[in-house]
Amino acid sequence: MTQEHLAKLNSIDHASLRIARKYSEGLGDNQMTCLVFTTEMRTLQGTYPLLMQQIEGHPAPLPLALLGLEKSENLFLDESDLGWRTETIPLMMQKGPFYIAKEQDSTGVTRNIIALDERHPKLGLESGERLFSDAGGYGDHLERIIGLLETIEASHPHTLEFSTMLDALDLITPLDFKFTLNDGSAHTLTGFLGIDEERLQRLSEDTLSSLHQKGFLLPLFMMLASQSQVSRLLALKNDKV
Amino acid sequence: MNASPHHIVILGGGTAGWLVAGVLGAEFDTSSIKVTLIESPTTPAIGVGEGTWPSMKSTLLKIGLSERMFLEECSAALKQGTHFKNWLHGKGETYYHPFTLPHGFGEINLADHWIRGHLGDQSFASSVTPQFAVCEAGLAPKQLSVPEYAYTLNYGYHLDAGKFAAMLSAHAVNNLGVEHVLADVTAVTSRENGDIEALVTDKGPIAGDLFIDCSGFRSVLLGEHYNVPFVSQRHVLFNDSALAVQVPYGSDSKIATTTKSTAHEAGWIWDIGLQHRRGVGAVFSSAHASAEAIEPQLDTYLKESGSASGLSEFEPRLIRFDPGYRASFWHKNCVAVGLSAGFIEPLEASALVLVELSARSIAQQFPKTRQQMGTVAQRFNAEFLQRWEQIIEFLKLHYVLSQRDDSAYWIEHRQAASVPTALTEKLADWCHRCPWHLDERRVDEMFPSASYQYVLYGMNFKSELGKDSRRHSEASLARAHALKAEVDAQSSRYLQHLPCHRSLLDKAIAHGFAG
Ligand SMILES: Cc1cc2nc3c(=O)[nH]c(=O)nc-3n(C[C@H](O)[C@H](O)[C@H](O)COP(=O)(O)OP(=O)(O)OC[C@H]3O[C@@H](n4cnc5c(N)ncnc54)[C@H](O)[C@@H]3O)c2cc1C
Repeated sequence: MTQEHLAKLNSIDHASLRIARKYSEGLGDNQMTCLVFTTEMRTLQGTYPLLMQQIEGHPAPLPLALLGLEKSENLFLDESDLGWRTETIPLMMQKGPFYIAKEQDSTGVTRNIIALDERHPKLGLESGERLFSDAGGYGDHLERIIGLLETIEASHPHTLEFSTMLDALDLITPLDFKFTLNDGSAHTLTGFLGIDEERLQRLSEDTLSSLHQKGFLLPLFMMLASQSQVSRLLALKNDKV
Repeated sequence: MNASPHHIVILGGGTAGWLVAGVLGAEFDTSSIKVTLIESPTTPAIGVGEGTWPSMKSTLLKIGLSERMFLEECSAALKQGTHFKNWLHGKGETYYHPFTLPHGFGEINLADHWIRGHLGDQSFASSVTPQFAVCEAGLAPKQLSVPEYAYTLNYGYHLDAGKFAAMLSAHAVNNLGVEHVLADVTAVTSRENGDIEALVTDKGPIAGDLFIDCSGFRSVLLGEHYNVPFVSQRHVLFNDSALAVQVPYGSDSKIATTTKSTAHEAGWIWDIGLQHRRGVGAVFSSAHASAEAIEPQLDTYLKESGSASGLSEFEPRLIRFDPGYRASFWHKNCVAVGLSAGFIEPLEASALVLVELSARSIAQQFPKTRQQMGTVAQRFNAEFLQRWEQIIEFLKLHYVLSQRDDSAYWIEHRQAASVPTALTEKLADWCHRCPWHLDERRVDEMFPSASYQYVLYGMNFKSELGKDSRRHSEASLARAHALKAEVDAQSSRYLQHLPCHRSLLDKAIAHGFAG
């Protein structure tokens, strides 16, 4: 997402703008992964494999949910009204084309503003839910999105610290593997990282307790538990072939 | 007689019979095609045959078995290839034939570069795949977080043959609708056209449309009933005997992740590590050595490989076999699968994979009419004759490349008259060219050219390639270096992160994979 497409959200320019609440490939939801935050790992772990990936420009790998097994594949998209087959959906997918951006006001103070990607396929004038009410106030959906953005903003630093810590403790292990689908086709998943269970078990009591104090232990175990969801993705993909 | 065949009768409840029953039971709906398996309550299955190929992963998946349950019930372990020792000179030298292809195999032939010394001076396998380092370190080929049957490095299994047949049997009967009859087949009744009409048993006759002969070495239907000639291969591969023992783990209970194949002056010894015991056996040629002469070899091996006791503490089983196969496998309405179709020494564990391939071929081409069965039979026979030839050539390669001269056994194995012409021609060709995809003329080649590379270059075969005159050679060299660097990086990454073999098995059984 380049900054150029981002505009500051306001009730004048965006008065009649509508947002599609559905998920679909056409609406840009065909992502293989999405970033996740420590605060949501507990709810996500029963549905998605929570792995990590080294992302350019970041010193430590970042946690993400695996949504598909190849590029531009999201196995959670379906034909239902919502277009998403499960109840829990990662924050980054729910928030759609909205962002929190920084703005400096005339006094030089930086504050958060809401920005949106005006070219995003979920936004339009014809269909979907209006962002603003007739009176110019936030609509229900937008209200909810703003709540999500605030959660994201709040958990972002914790998540970065979390991944830096995991990296420093060498708890991250490459997860490369090949698998064969029912139709006999062979595929490879590579470039992802998981939690190294053996190393986790060897951590000293002191380390464990400091992980706990920092609120890292729970998300760590959630990530570990979530790894069994890779099998769910395989099953979903097998259903497709 | 043109009704569509709908009753398949399998004779024999060894590994072959139950694998075929599993594959066919999973393929067909019981309402259209019924599968019955007859097994003698008195004649036991052979009870050996404990090393598989990676193909077993897909076979188990197809049959509908969970990998966790399979590992638990069959005391199974993960096999990443074969580790050969003493095959070249008999002086302690070793090499690997791993299941993972050389890195970048689809794109570039690293063997070309290895031969020219571009990849350094390490052994071939260690230069082209991280599996070498992982096997040396005794690590598992995957982590717990990798789902069932998926893998980081390719693997097959080591399994307990008796438990395997029992597990397949329970699954086939309980979940796939296969009918199990415990009875001895004593006679065969025929139709006018020579087809088998029914198998006569002590529990009454059992009629069917297609009969699958999985009766073991006796080959009750194809051999005894139809007298289909046996094509002996004794002049190529002399081994016709095995002395097998089951060995408990000693103080070192590490489970090897390869089949160990150790040559001695009169044959070779297999060593297969399961969870609870090892299976060890000496394969030899009765024309060159008696069982008594082999016993000391086996005894020494057991003691040197960590067994707490020598051979005298065990009850070794002597198994005799005739190396060779039937001139055809599918005759009339009868097809033989497993030992009844043939057997050659278990050097590359090629017996069970042939069973898997036969079962798959029968399932996929299952004839709609009796008439069509003739065509299917012809195709099946052509396909499997080819496979037997491929296996024999590949096994013979191990002997031809040997430089051992400590016994007549090894020297005679290299005599030109004992080498199949096709193999002699290939070797002549490979003196100037490394095997690669070009060599896989037939789509269904049993052993990929990668397997040939591992054995050839593991056994010091010299391909004299001459100067590389191709225009792209510089780009190719750069690519080879990059791939070699990836192999090294992968090796150290895997060494750091893959779990030890036994600990992975314990955890996978306790919690399941990807958990
Ligand atoms: C020494 C040795 C080592 C081996 N190692 C390997 C290896 O590492 N890897 C590999 O893939 N393979 C190996 N094999 C081959 C492997 O053991 C066989 O391919 C496999 O076990 C299949 O055997 P089977 O089912 O055909 O025969 P068997 O196990 O002999 O079963 C025959 C069945 O037929 C039944 N039967 C026979 N006659 C009658 C009758 N008249 N009425 C009713 N039932 C009858 C018997 O009861 C039995 O159930 C090895 C073989 C040997 C000899």
